[in-house]
Amino acid sequence: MSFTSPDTAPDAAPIIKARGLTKVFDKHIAVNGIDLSIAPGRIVGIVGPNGAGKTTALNSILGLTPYQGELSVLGRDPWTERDELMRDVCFIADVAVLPRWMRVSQALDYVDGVHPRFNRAQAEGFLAKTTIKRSSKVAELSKGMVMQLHLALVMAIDAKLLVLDEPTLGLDILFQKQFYESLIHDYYDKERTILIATHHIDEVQHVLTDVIFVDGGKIVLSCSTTDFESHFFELLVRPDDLAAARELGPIHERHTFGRSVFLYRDADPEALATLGDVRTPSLSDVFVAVVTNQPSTIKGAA
Amino acid sequence: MKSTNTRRPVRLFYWSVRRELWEHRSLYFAPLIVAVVSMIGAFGAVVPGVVASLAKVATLNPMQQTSQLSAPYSAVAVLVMITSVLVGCFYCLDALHGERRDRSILFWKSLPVSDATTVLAKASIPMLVLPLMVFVIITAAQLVIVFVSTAVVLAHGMSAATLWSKLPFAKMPVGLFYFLVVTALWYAPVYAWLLFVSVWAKRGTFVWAVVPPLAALALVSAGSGSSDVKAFLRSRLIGAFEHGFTTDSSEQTLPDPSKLLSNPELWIGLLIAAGLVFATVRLRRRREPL
Repeated sequence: MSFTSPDTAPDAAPIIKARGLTKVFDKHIAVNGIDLSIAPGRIVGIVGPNGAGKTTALNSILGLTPYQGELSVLGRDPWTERDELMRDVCFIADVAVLPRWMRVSQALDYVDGVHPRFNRAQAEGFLAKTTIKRSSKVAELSKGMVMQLHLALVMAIDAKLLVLDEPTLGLDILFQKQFYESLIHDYYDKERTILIATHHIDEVQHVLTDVIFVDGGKIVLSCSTTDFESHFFELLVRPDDLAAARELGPIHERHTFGRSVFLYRDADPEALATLGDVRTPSLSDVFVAVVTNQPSTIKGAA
Repeated sequence: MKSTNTRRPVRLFYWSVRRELWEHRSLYFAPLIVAVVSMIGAFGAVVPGVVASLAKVATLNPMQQTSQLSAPYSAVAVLVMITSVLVGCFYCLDALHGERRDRSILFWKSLPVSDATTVLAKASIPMLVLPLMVFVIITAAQLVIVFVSTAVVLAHGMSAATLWSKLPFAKMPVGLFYFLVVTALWYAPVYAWLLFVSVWAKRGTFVWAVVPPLAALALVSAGSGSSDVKAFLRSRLIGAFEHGFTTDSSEQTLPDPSKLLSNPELWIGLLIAAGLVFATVRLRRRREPL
């Protein structure tokens, strides 16, 4: 699956704008002064380890929790104007949150009843592609089917912003792939904005237009995936050129299967090419490098 | 748009109530089962006796005749009402706790239904929806008993005229409806307290619902003398009937709205209920899965 990012005009009014967004629980600082500006039509991955503050930041954006700092979502304050905001914002917080007693038909009836932007025919269409029966209770569905149902409900809502927090946690690989494929092919239309928080980086890499790395409540890297490809390079260093490669200042080194793999930020790709094979690194490798933030050597199973 | 802006709050409220009834089917099954069982009890014990009592009522004064003949109808009504109050209490205690336990609160909050709508819909279940359902159930059960008793009387070759003339057909449903309104108003602070506990407590909702009020009352009673506390509990928990009805000189029990409405205890209770519901809305705003 390949996906090219639509480069929306940078001057388009941002869907989400945050300045100094902070959230403190008792003594623990979950979100520590985040600045953020997300333009419409982007698919943004918020990537970070557990406890990095991803969910807390998303909960602030969704008006589920009060916060300090400035935050505006679709021009509204999510904490004080949540009721209005939720007509244009939708989210899947967890695959397992559909009430277990509810029947599939009741879920359709209910969302149709309360959501002015729900297109029931569309949801029925998505469900028709699955094996989910209308008369089944959520409790009787497998975890993957609950995800399909939830996605069918959410994708039939004409929202401007969709927020997904670890949407595929606990799903097998087939369902994970299907989830993101449906999202991109059946839902995303270049006007909607999708925000995905996950720590399964490689699974979302191909669908994102932007990526934000968070750690310890702060943003450690924020860039578009096209920028990412022009800023980060991975070099499979020829054994004879190790010293020369090190001179160019890799931000991370690892050694696997007898090869040394160096990661560079903002290096000259032509200079790197003389020392070995250059390729685009995976998000997870860059994430590890940026978060540990120092050249370190991780010994692989050589 | 599917609905105009003015109709939208009604629509949201309607669907919020419907979803409560989908989830908590015991709300109508429990009173229904009790109605059926007590009806069968009425057939077994009272209906065969209706022949004997019809023969006997002739010797009683008119007031006693009516109370004797309407006894099974009152018994069914009382049993179903007690059930509905208990079901309403347990419903309230779980209403805002269950959604946090099973994490479904995240689904509810992903839809454009405000916390106020959600909490008011839940509060309306014991205060409005349940009383209406109970009225229908009890009235239906009473009609069944009337028809079965009539059939029994006719089968014995007797005239049903005495039975029909002595039964307070108009008074029973009116009195029942009024009593349901009184009960709902009188128990409003109890239901609101239980809703508040269900949104506030992390665990042990039953203990939190029962122990703090009892402890507070125990403290008050230690200071003032226990008879006040006993009287308060009695009045609040089983006093709805005596606050809403008057027994006149001929020992006839009549609805007395002016007595009810002039009772400051009613208004204090309603004020407390409103405060608790408001606090519940505010608390749900910040609630997350447990």
